[in-house]
Amino acid sequence: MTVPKEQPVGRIKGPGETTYEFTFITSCKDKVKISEYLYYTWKDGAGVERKVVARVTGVEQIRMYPDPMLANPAIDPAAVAGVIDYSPQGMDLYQVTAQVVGYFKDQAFKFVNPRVSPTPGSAIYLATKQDLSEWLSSKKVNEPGGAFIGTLLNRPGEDIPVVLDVKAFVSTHLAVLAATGQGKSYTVGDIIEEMMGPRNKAAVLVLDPHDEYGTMKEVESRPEFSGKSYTPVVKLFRPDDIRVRFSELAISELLHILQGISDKMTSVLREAIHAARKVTPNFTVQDVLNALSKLKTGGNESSVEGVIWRIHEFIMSRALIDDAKHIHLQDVLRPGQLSIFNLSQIEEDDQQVIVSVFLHRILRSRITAMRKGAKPSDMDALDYPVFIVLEEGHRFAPASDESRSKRILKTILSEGRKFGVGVCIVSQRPGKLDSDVLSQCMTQIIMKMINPVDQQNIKNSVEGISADLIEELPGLTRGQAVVIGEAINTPVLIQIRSRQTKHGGSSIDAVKEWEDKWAPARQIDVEHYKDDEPLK
Amino acid sequence: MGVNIGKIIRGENQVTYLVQVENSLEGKPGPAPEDCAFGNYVKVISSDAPARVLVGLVIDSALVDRDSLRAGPRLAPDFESMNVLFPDFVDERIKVVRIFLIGSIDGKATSHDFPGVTPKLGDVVVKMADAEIKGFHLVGGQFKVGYYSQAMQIRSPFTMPLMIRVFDRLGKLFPDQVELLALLKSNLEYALKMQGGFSQ
Repeated sequence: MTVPKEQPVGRIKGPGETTYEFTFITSCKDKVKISEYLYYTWKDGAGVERKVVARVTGVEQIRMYPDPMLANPAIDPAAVAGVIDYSPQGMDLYQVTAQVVGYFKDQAFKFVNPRVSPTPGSAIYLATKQDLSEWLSSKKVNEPGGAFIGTLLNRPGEDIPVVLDVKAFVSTHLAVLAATGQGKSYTVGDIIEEMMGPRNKAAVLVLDPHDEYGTMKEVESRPEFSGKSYTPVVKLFRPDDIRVRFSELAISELLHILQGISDKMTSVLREAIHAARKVTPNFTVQDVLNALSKLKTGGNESSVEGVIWRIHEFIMSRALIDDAKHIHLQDVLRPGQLSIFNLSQIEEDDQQVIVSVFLHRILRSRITAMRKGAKPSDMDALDYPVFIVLEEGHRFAPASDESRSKRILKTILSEGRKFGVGVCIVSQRPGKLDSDVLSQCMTQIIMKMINPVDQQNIKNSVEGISADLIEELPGLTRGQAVVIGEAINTPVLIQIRSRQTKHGGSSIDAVKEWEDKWAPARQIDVEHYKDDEPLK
Repeated sequence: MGVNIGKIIRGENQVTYLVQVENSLEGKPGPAPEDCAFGNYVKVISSDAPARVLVGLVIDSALVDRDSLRAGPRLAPDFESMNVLFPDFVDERIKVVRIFLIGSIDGKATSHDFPGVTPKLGDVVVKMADAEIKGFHLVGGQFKVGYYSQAMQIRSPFTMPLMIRVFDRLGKLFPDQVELLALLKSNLEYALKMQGGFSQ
């Protein structure tokens, strides 16, 4: 490695408060921003000179204008300094705290901490564009397996790309967290665009409670998402399309839908389904009810009645479970296909049932495919990894309450890695999201977050997020994000890239709509009401 | 030109000098008290290099009576008679002012730094006229009080009152700088009257 030719931006003062911190002195305020990447040089045991990367975590001004010089808002303190014959240029001096990231070994080992404090007095340099492009992301733009989501925030003029490792976030899950209106679904749209291109050809299902992703249909027709012989498919499933045939549900899935079912009821149900399946594999709900009626003997009556009541209450009253219609998993999840379940206009409880049922089916299918192999004729067999985007994650895995979908979600997040089921949890209220669910997402994209409860849950659940990054969250503006975790080599602050497809989740312009819809109020004909009877 | 104040009779250090104020003994009426008042700008004219003047401020004064505490009978019954009988007696009661050098003017070049050269004993000290004071504070066309920090280093109870007086004076000479000078002055007034006048 060659000795740097860049100009140093500061000189190291000494160790910081914690083991991996050090401080340096600089007058280059504009260059040394929070979260900026710097390096100093260090010779390892073999005499190889390394660039040891550090990230700025705090800046403290140690020399500045005396307070009385700032007393009159109308007077520029620089003018006062000028009059007493002091040039304020270079006057302000800063002590900067930086956290050692390590020297970049290679894409496999990423950063290695030298475990040696830097030498006081040694020079510290700004990391170059070339260095950062190599260090930050394990994938390059347009490289298979990469998802280009934005550029480094601190270097707006340099366009340093930040590329997520798709394999990493699909296997260890992703969380996109932000206050409402800060660009969560926009960012997820970016990620989906990257996944649906010819370099990734992903199998993606979006569970969309707000009908925000329908505009991604454009992916099918835009040339930038197509390859030589590849064109992605986008399937939009309306609420009426989302159906599961009763006979396709596993007992475990049924038990999850039929709330509060006892062991005895389970036994009765299992027996009834077994009897119905004997007659026909495509049995109906009525077939099971008939079978249950035959089991009302010898002290079973109350259990049978309980099951029948639950079937009426939780299955027959829901449109999701159907006797005939069925969505096969291969209709939903295929490489190169994006499926969007439009869950808007569906009750929240029913949304949870849909999420629960499909997650159960997907995990079951993946486990079967990996353990026993997939039968070519089985349209529910998924012999490839899949990625599921779950909007409004706090609804499906709330922190305080139980929900129908929470248990299966936790199972997938903890075990999905082994079976190739990746989940992207999107939430505007991380404080209301189950902390186990959040902590299982090993890559996070976190945008503006003001609520202290949300910040605290992020702090508690997100591995590797430092206090300085938490402090950054309220100050981010729309489209800016902290990215941290497995899919990136080190935490970064980014500017989210522009979408290629139209964003479907933008806020309603109420004032414009009122202006468009406004018309002169109808004249109230007072005479007309004169003789009317008073309202009773 | 300005009014002669007197001559340097003693140097206390590189920048502080004592000036004996002229009196009638020297054949001239001498300056009026306000000419050598506290905070006045003075210039020291060097006999070796008349083009270069050192600029200073009157920072202190003392009255000396050589006959003070001398015991013995007086031939004259009162002060007026003494002046007739012994005309040099009264004139030996002298006034001394201390000046602090704050810069120099060498031709057209003005500096607000510590002067590198020192005046000589006997160099004449002259009160500066308003036009000269204005010229001294325009360095390269810019208004400067570059000696402010140096003046504040003088360990004297008079430093802050001195600079307050300086800012008042400059405010009259440079009306466009009044606001800025008021800011500097208010800081000193706070330190003098609030911090100096009240102990915590």
